[in-house]
Amino acid sequence: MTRIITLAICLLFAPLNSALAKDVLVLLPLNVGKSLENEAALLGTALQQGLSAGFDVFYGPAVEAKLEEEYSKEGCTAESCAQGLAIAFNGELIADSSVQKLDNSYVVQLQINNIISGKIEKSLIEICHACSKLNLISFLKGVGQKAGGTVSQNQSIASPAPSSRKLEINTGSFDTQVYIDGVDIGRAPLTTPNAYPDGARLNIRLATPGYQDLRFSHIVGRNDAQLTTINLVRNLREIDIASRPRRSELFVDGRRIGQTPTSVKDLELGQRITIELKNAGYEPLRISHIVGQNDDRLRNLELQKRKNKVYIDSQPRGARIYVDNKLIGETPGETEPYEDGKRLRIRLSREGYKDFSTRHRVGRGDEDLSQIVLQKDAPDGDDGKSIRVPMGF
Amino acid sequence: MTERLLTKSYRHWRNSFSVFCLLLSVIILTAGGTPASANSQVLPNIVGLDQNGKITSLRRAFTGNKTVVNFWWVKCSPCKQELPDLLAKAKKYPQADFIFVHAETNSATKAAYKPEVVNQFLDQLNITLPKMIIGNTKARLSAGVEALPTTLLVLPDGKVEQFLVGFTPENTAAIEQWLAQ
Repeated sequence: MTRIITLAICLLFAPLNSALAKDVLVLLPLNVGKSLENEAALLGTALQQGLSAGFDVFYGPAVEAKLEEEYSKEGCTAESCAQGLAIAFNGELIADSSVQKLDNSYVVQLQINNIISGKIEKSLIEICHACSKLNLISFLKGVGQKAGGTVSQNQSIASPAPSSRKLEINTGSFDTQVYIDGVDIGRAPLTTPNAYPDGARLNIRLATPGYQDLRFSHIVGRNDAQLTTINLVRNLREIDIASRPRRSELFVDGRRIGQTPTSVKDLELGQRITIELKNAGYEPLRISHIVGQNDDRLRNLELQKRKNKVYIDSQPRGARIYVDNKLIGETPGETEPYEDGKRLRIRLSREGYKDFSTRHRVGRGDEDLSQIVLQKDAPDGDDGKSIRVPMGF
Repeated sequence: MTERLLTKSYRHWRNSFSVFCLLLSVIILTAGGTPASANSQVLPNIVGLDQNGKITSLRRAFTGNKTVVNFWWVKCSPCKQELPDLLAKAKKYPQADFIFVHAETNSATKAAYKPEVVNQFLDQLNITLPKMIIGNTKARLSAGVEALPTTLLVLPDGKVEQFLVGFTPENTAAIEQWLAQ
């Protein structure tokens, strides 16, 4: 009975046995970028395991040693070295592979060459999208299986479906605009509308008025909780304000700060403020300023001296008015505006009256010039002069 | 009573052993550890150089004809004796292909023999082989060939019909008979 069962099993497995005869493939060491140097052996083994589904694979130290031996031979060419390798391992096929990181994905390249025919038997470029190193291991195994024919050639290797998750973002402000990879996803606090795969690197930007723009990258699945306790840094600035003349009274948004030169603290970057400077004898200066934009201009604010017109009148009226020997009209009249303190030579002239002439400082007793009494010419040679009548006379 | 108990115990042991052997057979049969078993059903592959130093393989040399694949070695006396006999058969049965596989590592160089060395040996014997593949011991062992000479009789579909070890009158007759079919 036992013999019959054994025979039946032999017959059952006989076709399987013949199907087990696979092509021998020599897998050269996996080429990896710098970021994967430490995992190269592990990744190579994963690829080898995948390829083993369709080939008898030689990989590892034996291959490396033989490769080194071949390359150390004098006159070794790529072709002769590969042939030496093929003969050593009795395999027509040699596989060259590489893994390179691009953005947050890995590009896997696998090429299987037939050393005897010179034909490229298989050439695969597969991308493991948003792949962690851990996921890359199983992805490589999949690439190997595809090359080995156990996965349909037309079937793309699914990047291992990493678990994905939505993220919670909270800054403690209700005014924070959240951008992920440049896309505005709303105002914090929020839970992202999309789920992101574990291991994906997200570029997050948090924009809050009055706070510094916060830009950082976050790898999904790594300490996601920190996104719920983000501390924003206020955009506070201190600006210096100086003026000519000094000691001008400074007001910011109507609040008296002190006398120039001085500093104004705790201003938010980007905040629009109104600066006012007042000083006796000067026109008040009022400017609008956005904090952080050309703050240096506030170190050299210049107040313009106040300007006054001088009203001139005489008894009798109709006298010609000369200011610095220039006729400007007849009394009653007024001068053009002059800066406070400017010295003027004023002369009034009327037929039958003696000329009235005086030096005057603008802003100092301007009222005196509004009631000048002209003296008639004295036919008997009296040298009587026109007089200024003081106010209140 | 005791005898009956012993018999029962023996039967129980025998059944267990049979099941064990059965499982072992299954394991051995299903394990694909070597590319070709000692009695591989498909033509194994041997990668090596031809007599001109060009890389080739047994599967590429196989053209789909009835084929005699002979494993030999320059230092194997029975092999040397068998070569003329096989060449005579090759002449007699031109419709069949004959491929001679020299798959042995040169202990001096730790690599496969160089074609010049094998050709020089054949020149001494005044023999020219139609198709030759020079590989290493690893290749031979992967084909399940553990003794030399060994001859495989391969059908046009690539299946190995007979696996003949040694240069014996029985094997010579079997080859003749197979070629004559």
